[in-house]
This record gives sequence, structure tokens and C-alpha cells, in this order.
Amino acid sequence: MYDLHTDDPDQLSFSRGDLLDIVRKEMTGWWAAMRQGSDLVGWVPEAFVRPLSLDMAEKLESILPELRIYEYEAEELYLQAPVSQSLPIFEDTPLHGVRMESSVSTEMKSFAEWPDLKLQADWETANEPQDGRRIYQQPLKSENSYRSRPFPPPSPTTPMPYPPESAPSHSHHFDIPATGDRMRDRADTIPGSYPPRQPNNELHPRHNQISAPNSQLKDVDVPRPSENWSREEKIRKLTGSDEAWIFLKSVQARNHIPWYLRPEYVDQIEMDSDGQVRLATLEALVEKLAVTVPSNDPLKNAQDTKYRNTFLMTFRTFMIADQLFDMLVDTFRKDHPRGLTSEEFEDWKTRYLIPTQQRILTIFTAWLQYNRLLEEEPHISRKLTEFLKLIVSPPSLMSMAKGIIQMVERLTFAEPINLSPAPVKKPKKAKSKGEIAKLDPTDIAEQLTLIEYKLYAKVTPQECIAHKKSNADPSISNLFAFCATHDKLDAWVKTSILNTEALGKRAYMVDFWIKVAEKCRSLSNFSSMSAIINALSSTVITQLHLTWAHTGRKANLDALLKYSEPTGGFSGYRKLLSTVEGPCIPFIGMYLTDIAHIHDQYQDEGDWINFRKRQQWYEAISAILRYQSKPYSIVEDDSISTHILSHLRDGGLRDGEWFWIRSDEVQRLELAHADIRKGLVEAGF
Amino acid sequence: MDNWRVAVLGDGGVGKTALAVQFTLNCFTYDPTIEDAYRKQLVVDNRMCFVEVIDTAGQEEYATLRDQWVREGQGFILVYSIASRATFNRLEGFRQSMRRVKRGDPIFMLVGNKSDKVQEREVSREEGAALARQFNCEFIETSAKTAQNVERVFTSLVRALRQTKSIEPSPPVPTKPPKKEDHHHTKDKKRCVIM
Repeated sequence: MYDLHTDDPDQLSFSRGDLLDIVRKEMTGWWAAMRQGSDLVGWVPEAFVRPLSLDMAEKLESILPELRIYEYEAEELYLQAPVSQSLPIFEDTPLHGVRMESSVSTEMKSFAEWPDLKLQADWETANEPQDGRRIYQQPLKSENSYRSRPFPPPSPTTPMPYPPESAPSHSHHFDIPATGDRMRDRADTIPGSYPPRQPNNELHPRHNQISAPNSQLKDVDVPRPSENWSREEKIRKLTGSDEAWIFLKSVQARNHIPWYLRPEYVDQIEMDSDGQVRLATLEALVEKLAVTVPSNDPLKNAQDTKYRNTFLMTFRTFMIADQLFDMLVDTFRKDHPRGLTSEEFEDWKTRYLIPTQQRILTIFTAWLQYNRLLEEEPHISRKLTEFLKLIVSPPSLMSMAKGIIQMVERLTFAEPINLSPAPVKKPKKAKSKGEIAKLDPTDIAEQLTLIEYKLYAKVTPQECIAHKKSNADPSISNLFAFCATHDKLDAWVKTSILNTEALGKRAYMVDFWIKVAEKCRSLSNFSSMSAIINALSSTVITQLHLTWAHTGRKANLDALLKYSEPTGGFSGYRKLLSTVEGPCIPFIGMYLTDIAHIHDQYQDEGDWINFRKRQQWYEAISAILRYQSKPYSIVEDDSISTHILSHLRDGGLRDGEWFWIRSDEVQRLELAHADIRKGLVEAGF
Repeated sequence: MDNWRVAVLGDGGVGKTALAVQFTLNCFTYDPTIEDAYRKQLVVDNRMCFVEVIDTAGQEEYATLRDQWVREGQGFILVYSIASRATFNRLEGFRQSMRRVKRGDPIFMLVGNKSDKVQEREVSREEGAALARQFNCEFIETSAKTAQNVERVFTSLVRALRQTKSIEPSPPVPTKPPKKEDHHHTKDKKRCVIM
């Protein structure tokens, strides 16, 4: 891949004092690099360049290329140690690319040694802005490399213009952001000037997929002949992966953000290739939460919103609420960086400060509205109100703050919202208690559904997260109550069958419960359905073979069984669940397993918080609670629901042992009766 | 190729999840939405088999589901933590539930997990071995944390399952190719559950 014999369009030329961005480092000593302010990418030998820190690169950037080396040396002396962890690269050697010189000592070879090459480089620099092709058409000395550019550069003035609204956000992604993001950033930056990328997308489904939702690309969505295809393809060929390309885009984007808009903790955050945070320190996480500015890009905004939701749902697992509150307030009141010109200050204010402040208020709103601030940390609401009252300018922020204060008040004094619509009570004719078989299975299923829904609606995300800790913890009482109903219902079903003496009635009872289960299925009450199926298919019931011989709906039960099989990670049930749209009460057992797995699989590393873990929790918990906001419109029937509740209560009291004893007894009686009957038949009755 | 379903049983906190994750993650990253996330190919005595781990960790609230997991499983891993005597003492309950549902002798392994916690050991290796003799099953100490012996647990279990012809057949996995006559003992599918 980095073969020296390949004749060099793959390599990058540069001259002493140039600043390059390193796109990818290979163990072979070849690094893929990109010239700052341009988008040529090619391989450079590691030994010819010197890594720089971000700070250093920024300093040197403002200096004439010829003077950079001296400045660099001075800085290095000053710092006494080379700074690592760099992205931009400081070029020590003259134009070169083919020769691979191994010794680091070559770094200080001066202009004089390769004077003609220096000239070439100057010539190249001078011409580049006019037409990138020139370089291509004008090869340098055969020995030296250049990097062809098969299509015109996006913009004649190499530092690309930058629209304010998207600028500060780039830097957050500069590690390995989503391809879609990167591409879009470019499209934003230079509208219409960047057609070549789209054909790439079409040739590479992966990218195509990512960028598909991006409406911004539509105006450049014109297939181009193959010559334009090349850059991404080339980088991929060079490096063997997409990452370099993605990285390149991010580096390009980052380079155009003024230093005072760059995030502080950007080196403390690691991104996944899909643009989501994998690992980061607390500071970096909060910064990403508070500082990223929304852009016009729907995909990125969606990602941003998801990040915020994840953060707000799970932050209590890595920090306490007071800490978050203080950090947000600090960011809100953050002072401008030192050494800004008044022009830069204005820029900082409009592009950093104001959007960030707005964003922080949005965060507080979301925390209040959807993430249970009042329930989980009531003391914060007072602090929050005090903080908000101090916001008096600009007017837009003040009105936003006022809105939040009103919301705090409204939520504080509001009655707890009853999620189920106040049902119109419709008294039915009284049923004789204890004879559930005389009830309509539909009534039972419906009332059961209402009861379960009420329990389900109370479960909170925090309970789901805390669930892994201890089962008896009072802080998860709602979750526990919801899960416990499953066992109680199971016990009720078993009891009602085992306590029915006559064989025929017992078989009828089994059929009755199968009907209830089917009805629950059509109501999407999977929690009750699972409990009933489980009870019916338990050994204590299935071993009553004669009972089953008298039932008529066994086939219906078999059809339901596939939904409660735990194999394949409850795949049958997952499929069923994916088809549900309306109100639903999920069976959440498998999600609880998921949460436990996620907890085991991802670990925080010291101060670095594994945000991937929180991301996955967020997804599992969202799946659990998805249907809470969709109440059933079933009319509540007091007498039936009281009846059900009393049975559920009794069911919870049964000892597991009782079922076995009772079941064995019933089985024995069944066989004895069968023998008697057989004897009677044989005797001619 | 034979298929086995293995259920892992034991109290909360003994490291059932870690055991399952350690076993299955050796070949891929856990993704709950992928059906095969719980399946793993394993070569035992030069013969390939699939082991599906039925993992129900985190569902301890659903006590009555245990019956179902035992039904689904063909082989079982009974886990306690060597650092917790309570988990050791409660094993008998799990064994009983297996014996009841399985009607006879279930195939299972006794596993003392968390063998890396040497300092906190509450149950000696000898006690574990003695209980295994009483249960008439194999015994291994593992560490899901360091992966020590994890694969061996499953290998031994598959070996034991293969030796037992009496295991009730479970519904065939669709992908399973039909077997020829010289592999009678592999015809039954076996499964395991993690509880």
C-alpha cells in the first residue's frame, strides 16, 4: 500500500516550513497527510516531519513559512520537550515524497541543500490558488513526488469561508465523526462548489446511506463522470479504510474554526466511527452537551438531540445533579478567552456565547420537562429559579428564562398527571365473586390491561438503570411492582386451575385463560399475555395430561408460545413488538437482561466515562418506556378490577411449593378417576 | 453439527451475565437485537457444535419464569460465587427445580465463579467438589473476569450432553442440517439457559 515503487501520485509534496495535517499514521513510517488549507492528501515519510501540538500549530500558522522553523525551535527550547498528540505537522524538509530517509536527523536539512526543489515548491504555492490542475500538469522533477488533483479545488482562496452557524460544532467531531456529517459540513461551507463528492456516495453505498437524509446535498446530487470520483477512492485505496477520509474531512473542518471557538476538552473525548461519543471525561461530556451549536443539518441535529436525551437520562450514573447544574451555570457565565481583538470578541459572542447560553436554557427545559428534575432532585429547582431570575439580557434569553420559571411553577403545583384518561365509570351488573369462569374473558383481559398499564406508566428511567443494583431496593418500587404483577398473575392462573376439582371444569378453566391470553395479545398487553402463557405452559399445569385432553384451545396456546420463548434473545417476542403501534404494555424481562449485559460489557476507564454504555442504556430504556405515553381508552369497571386485584393479591401469597404438591395431587386424582371410568366402561356401564 | 441450549442458573450477583458475555463475546460484540448474539460455535472433541446460551440475567424479579428457562434448557450451569456462601447454600433450590421440570437427571455443571477473588473466598474448592459429588455432576471454578476456565465449562457440558442419549429432543433449529445414522447421539438438540 505504501510501496515506494509505486510512482508517487499517492505521495504528497511539501516544503520546509509547511504545515500539514496528519490524516492517518501507519506503522511503516508513512503518514497520510494533508496540506493545511488545501485538500491534497498523500503519503509523507514520518521521518521528514515533526509532530506539533495544536497550540504550536496555531502559533506557527500565523508566522511566515520561512520563519516557522526558527520559531518552532525557540518554542521547543522553551517548552523543553516536544509536544505530542498532534494533528498538524510541521515540515522540516524540503519538497520530497519519494525518498524514504529513515534518519530523524535529516529533519534540519535546509533549503540550501535542495534549492531547486524549494523553487518548485514556491512555484507550486504561487500557482495553486489559481488552478489546482496546474500542479498536476506540471510535474516536478521526476524523482520528486507530487500529488495529482484530478478535479479543481473547491475554492480558489484556500482557507475556506466559513458560515458562522456551523463553525463551532465541527471541532467536537474532529476525532472520527460520521461521514455524513463531514460531507455535509463541506457542503455547508462552500455551497454548490463541491459536486465531486456526490458521485462518490453513489459508488459507495455506505456513504450514500449515511448522507441520504441530508437535503443539503441534493443540489449537488448530480452524477459526475468518473474523473471526479477519485479523491475519496484514492484515500481509501491508500489507507485501506474509510476512516482516513472521515478524519480528513474533520480535520479540514476544524482548521477553519478560529481558535477561540474551539472546544477546550476536545482531546478528552473519543468518538466512534458513527459519530457518537464512546469515551470521554466528565468535562468533555458536559462541554459537548452545552457548547455544540445546532446547525441546519437535520441529521446532525437529530444526533445532537439524541446525545442530549441520553445524557439527561443517564447522567445520574456518573455525576450528581448538583454538579451538572454547577457546570452548566459556569459554562453559561463563562468569560471570553484572553487576547481577543474586539472583532474577535464580537465573533466569539455571536457564535459561541449566545448560542451556548440558549442551548443551556434548552437543556434545563428538557431536564425539567422530560427528565424528572422536580421528582429526582427537587432542591435543584430552587437554585435553578434563582439562576434564571438573574438573566436579564439579551431579551431573547430573558424571555426564555421566564418561560422556564413559569414551567417550574406550573410543574411544582400541578397535580400529578394521571396518564390514563379519566374513565367514564360504567357500572355493570354485579358478578358473583369467586366465579371468574363466569366472567367474559374480554372483560378480564381489558381490566387486567388497565391495571397493568397503571403500574407500567409509573416506571421511571432511573428505576430501570438502578435495577441492576439490587432487587429489593425501595428506590425501584414502581418497577418492582410492575414486574411482580407478572408473578402474581401467573400464580392466579395456576391456582384457579389447580383448585378446580372437576376435570371438565378444569379444562374449561384452561380454555378460559387461553382466551384471556389471546385477548391480551390483541390488546398488546404483552406483560399479562406472557404471564398467562407462562403459567399455562408451566410443568405444574402441563403435567395434567387428562385436563389438556379435554381442552379445545391448545392449538391457540401453541400459537402464542413462540412469543415467550427466551431463545434467540426473545426473538419471537421482539418481532411481535416491532409491529405494535398503538397502546401497549410490553413484557420487559428481556430488556432488563439487556441492561444487565450492557452494564457488564462496557466499563468506565478511570476518569473517562464510557458514554457508549449510557447510549445503549438509553436505547434499552427508551424501548421499555416507549408506550407509557399512550394510554388505553378502556372503560374502567370497578367490580371486575377489584375482583382481579384481590386475586392478584392472593396469588402473591402462594408458596411455590404448594403448586407442586397440589399439581401432583390433581394428577393422581385424574389418573384414579380415569382408572375408575375405564373400569366402569369395561364393566359395561 | 449438534445444537445445545444451555441455561445458566444461580442467584443474582454470582456473575451469570459475565459468564455468558465472556463466553459469547469471544466471537462477537453483544447486540441484543441480533438473534445469534447468544449462539456460539464451539469445537468439542474435534466436532463442531452450536451452543445457545439462554441468558435471563436481570430477570430475577420474574421468579416464575425460571420454570420456563429450565424447560427450554437441555444442559445447565449452576453457578455460585466463591466469595458468597449464601449463593452456595441456595443451589439446592435450583437443582430441585431442574429435577422437577426435567423429570430425572438433568445434565449440569457446578461452577464456582469469581475465582479471581482469592482474598474474599468464602467457599473452599473442596466444598464445591464435595457438593458436586453429592449432585453427581462435574465441578469447575471459573473467573468470568479473567476468562479462566470459561470455555472449559461449556466444552465439558457439551461432552456430557453428547454422552447422554436420553435427553428429550427439542425443536430443531431451522439451520441445522439433517444428520446421518452414525451420529445418533447428536440428533437431540440440547440447549442451556442462563438464569
